[in-house]
Amino acid sequence: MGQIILPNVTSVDTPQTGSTRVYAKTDGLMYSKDGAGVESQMSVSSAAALAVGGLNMSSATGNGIKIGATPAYGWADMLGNVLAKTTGATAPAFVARNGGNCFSYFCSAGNILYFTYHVPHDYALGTDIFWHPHWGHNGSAISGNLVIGISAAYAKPSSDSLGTFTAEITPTLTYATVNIATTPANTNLINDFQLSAAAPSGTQFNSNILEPDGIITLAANFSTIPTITGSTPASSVYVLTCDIHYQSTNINTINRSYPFYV
Amino acid sequence: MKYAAPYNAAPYTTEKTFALTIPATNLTVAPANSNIISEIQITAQTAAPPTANQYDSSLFEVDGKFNVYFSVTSLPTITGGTQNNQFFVLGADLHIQSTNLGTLNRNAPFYS
Repeated sequence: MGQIILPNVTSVDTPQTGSTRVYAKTDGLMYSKDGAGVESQMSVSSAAALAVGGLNMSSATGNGIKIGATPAYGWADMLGNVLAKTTGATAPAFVARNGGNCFSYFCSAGNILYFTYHVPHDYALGTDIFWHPHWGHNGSAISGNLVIGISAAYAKPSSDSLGTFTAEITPTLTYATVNIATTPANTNLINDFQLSAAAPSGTQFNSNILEPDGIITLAANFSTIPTITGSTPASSVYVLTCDIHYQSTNINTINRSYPFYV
Repeated sequence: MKYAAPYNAAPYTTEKTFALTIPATNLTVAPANSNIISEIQITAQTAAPPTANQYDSSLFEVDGKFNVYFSVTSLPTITGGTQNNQFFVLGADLHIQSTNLGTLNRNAPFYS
């Protein structure tokens, strides 16, 4: 059995300068004492470990709680509830999704949904964001592409650079449904695409302009609907929410308003 | 604005009414097509103490609920746009201080 047994002691002498003693005390915990006579507790009891509170971290940018074998900031969602016009050519239907009492917006070709996203205070500065619809259909067969034309603009908070909205970027999301096996009915389908990058294309935001309290406004034009048979309403897909995946520091900003980090 | 503690612990408070006045002196102070944020403190610590138009911060707890109504009583003079003398609203949020820890339980009791 690999173990080291140390007798518990009340105290130890100060070691010579440039060395440190490690020992167990009568409370059963581990301690060290350096050459200056400074004692440091090296372990805590299980009960004390559970009672740890008030974790204090640096408020500077670049700090946070990372996860995984290759430590990285974990992912979270900026939620986007559906807003839509109720009349006119671009207004979606609002009907039962699967014959029950749960209604959803159903988009036919040319219908447009609108979203506003608030960049949260735990957004890891400079990281890339990914937009994604949660959608589906209630048909018995499906083929062809779902095409969503996006128009999106971003503005920093007014306290920084007066927050003027950027010109709209206009990426397109195309999803090949293939068939009912790959795109089954009455499910929570998710297809995400990259909305920002450190070296952005002409249809992406620069990740370096995003910051807490920024706002993204977005219009999603369901310009092409796949061929769907047996659905109610006909030739339509439902949209539940459209969210943005972002990487979270899991800590917030020290200041409520700009400057957020100092 | 009204607030109620969760789980029938207390009925909604009587309404707090307050006015938020945002100077829009000129186009430099309030530029077009921007993300303008104007903040007002709606709670204060007991020791502060809160004004008649503020809640005591000690009232609030997890799963409490706010109801908010706002009415635009005065508009700045806006010219040259497609919606003259109107402004757009993107959202209205509450800044909070977070423990950065979720509660142990989803419903009360939250912490044990």
